Amino acid sequence: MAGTICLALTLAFSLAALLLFAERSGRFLKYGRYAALLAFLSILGASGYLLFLFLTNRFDIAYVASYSSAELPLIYKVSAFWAGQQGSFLLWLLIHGTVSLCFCFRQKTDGTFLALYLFLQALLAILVLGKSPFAPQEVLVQDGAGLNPLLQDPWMAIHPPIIFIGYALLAVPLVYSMTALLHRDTEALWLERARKWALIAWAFLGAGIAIGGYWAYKVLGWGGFWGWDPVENSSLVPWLLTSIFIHVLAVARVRRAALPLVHLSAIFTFSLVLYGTFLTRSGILGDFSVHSFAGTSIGLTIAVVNAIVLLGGLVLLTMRAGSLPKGEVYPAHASREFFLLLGAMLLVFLSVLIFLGMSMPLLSQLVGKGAAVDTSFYVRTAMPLAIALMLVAAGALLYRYGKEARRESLKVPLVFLILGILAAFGVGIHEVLPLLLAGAALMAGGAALLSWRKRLLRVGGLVAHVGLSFSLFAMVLAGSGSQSVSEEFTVGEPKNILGHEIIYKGQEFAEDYSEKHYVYTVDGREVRALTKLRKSGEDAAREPAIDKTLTGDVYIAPVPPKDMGRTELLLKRGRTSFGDDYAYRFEGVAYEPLGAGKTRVTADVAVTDGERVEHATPTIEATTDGGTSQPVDVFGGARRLRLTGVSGDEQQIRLELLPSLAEEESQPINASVSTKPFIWVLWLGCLMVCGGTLLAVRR
Amino acid sequence: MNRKILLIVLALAFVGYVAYGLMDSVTPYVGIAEAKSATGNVQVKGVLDKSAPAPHMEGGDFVFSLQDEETGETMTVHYHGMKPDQFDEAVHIVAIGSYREGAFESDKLLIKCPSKYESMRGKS
Repeated sequence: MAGTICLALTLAFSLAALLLFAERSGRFLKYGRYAALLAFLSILGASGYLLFLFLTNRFDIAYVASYSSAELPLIYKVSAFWAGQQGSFLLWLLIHGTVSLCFCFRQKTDGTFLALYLFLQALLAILVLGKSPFAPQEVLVQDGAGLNPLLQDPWMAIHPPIIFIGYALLAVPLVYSMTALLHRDTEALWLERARKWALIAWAFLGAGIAIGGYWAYKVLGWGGFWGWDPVENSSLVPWLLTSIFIHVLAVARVRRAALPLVHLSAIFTFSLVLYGTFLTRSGILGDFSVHSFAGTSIGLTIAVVNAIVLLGGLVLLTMRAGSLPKGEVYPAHASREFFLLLGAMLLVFLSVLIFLGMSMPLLSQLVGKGAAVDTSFYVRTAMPLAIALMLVAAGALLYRYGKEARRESLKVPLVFLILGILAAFGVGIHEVLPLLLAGAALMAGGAALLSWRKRLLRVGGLVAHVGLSFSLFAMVLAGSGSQSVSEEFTVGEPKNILGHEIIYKGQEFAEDYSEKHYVYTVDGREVRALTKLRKSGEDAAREPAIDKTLTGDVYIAPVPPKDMGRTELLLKRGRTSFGDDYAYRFEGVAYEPLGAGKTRVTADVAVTDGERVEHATPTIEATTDGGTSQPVDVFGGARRLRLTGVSGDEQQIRLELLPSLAEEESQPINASVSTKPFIWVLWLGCLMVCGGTLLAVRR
Repeated sequence: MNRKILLIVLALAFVGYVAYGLMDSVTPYVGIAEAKSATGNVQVKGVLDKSAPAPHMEGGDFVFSLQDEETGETMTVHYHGMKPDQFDEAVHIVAIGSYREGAFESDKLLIKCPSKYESMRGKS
């Protein structure tokens, strides 16, 4: 209740502030500031309350029950805040509100700007209210569902906030652009300010995307870092559009005729942020039919908000088209302006391609039979565009602005081009397009270096462009240059695979049975793949073993054997059943309430190997919706038994028979082994892109 | 005038490029009968077939039987991964992949879970 009140207050204060700011004489600016402050405090209240609900395990709240559980480690209880759509939107609103303070209390900020900013805040507040994180849980549960084990990773805990900081900050350039249109402002000042905020947003968004890729590589175990998944694409498209914004803005600084392009890219960037969120968070891609689109009210709300931003922006731009500067957007083909715009056009193509790909399930159902595209679509279309983009970037870096533009010598960049191709060839890549991309990427990097030497590029631009060049180069090496084999490993037997000596050392269980490790040594260095286990003993998530060296990674993803030596047995009370080398008889069952809805069920099972008889008492801790159990040893650990179920009439139990721990730990295992040449260059490149972007904020 | 022609040519070239990209990479939504005869990748929607052996791991694959809600036809799915988190609560399952030698080989599963909000609406 308190949370919902805070959200309602946020909306009310935001609307009040918006009206006070919008008043033309500026008399109410002061009161507007107070209203905006109160709106921020309400958001803070709502966010703090949601955090409190998570930390105190309030499973009577649907959102908490869906993403948290009593035993979740503290850090993941905090990160469960943004594990789902409702909390993500609240986080977005919180960041938006925090940024509003930067503007509200600066005396010079003008009323129109603040009113527009608060307008967006009110829209976000409506989105949060539309699918509130504070809705009560319908059917009461003892414990929450818990956070997806794959997401229980430090990188995944910080990934969403970083992405959402990027998303939220992109509102600022849009508001600058709209304010400038309303005021018919074509001066350089707003461009500088919008550029600064766009750069910060760009850096955060880029960092978020890179962290997502790193997590996919480190945790998911399929060996890649980018899967062209809708979730990934929906953050990549705004990042690409922000790149367009930054680069057309650079043109507009010297040629005001390019201003309409700046406005257009600001509008599309923010509306694609909303669109991507809509696509991935409304759940329509998880379903088959387009009906869920019309069916979920939140989908409709986001669509309406998106339409308001997109149409509002475009209508305003059209109305002001007459007062925007006219003239040539570039003076000659041989000029930096031309190449910057050409590159922006290629980026538009790339964005449209990805947009079409990720929207295909939606679009295809609007015109006929539903369909989606697989990743070959993106690979096929993006690679040639990326090559062209790198060549154009090299052009833009080598030319100067203006009509009689001089071009720097092509010698150095061409040397880099050849070096890139040779290096990729040396790693074992023989297809034409990847070779060209590796060359073109390094060429753009070389051009950036030359451009910086001649004082045509500042240090931020240098670092970011070289970083991009590194990233694309490394993507080719580690992607197309990756070699992969599948092998069976027996414990202790050395194998020579892809030029490395790999020895499988066996399995190890963590003490509390929460994890199982597969231990390998690669050229003498120990690495571990791990499987997180559910409390029921089932596999929950697997992570590969990665040996990192300067020449690249060795990536080992184990595939558990078909037969783990585990069997299940159904026992009827009082009757003897034979399983493996032993006979089992179920003799009775006892119940012991543990409080909080939990019951400990203990079964009495007599086990014999034909000579001796032992009594085993496996237990299960049952709640209304399931149970957890640990294996117990019989015959000194030669066999292990786990109770997995008890029938309602107490006449039957289900037992899982496990081999001895030593036996299970030394089973042979299959694994896919692959090399990832120079993949660290990719992470370095990503870091440089984001770092360079931040460096460019200061002038 | 020249520039307009250039723009039209560019736009057409781009449309052609998109069409080239879409060749062979479209995975249509189909029923189980169609999935069995399809040659390329498809997406199949269905429910868990409760009459078949319980879903289990087989090697690296998660194996279960999918049933077409409309025709009742079933097929075995080999999902190249682990049991997805919310599999047990799934209302619908969408498997993406292709049918090969008696089983549907899938690299991706979409799990549609009951939404608390939907059931709330259903009540009121």
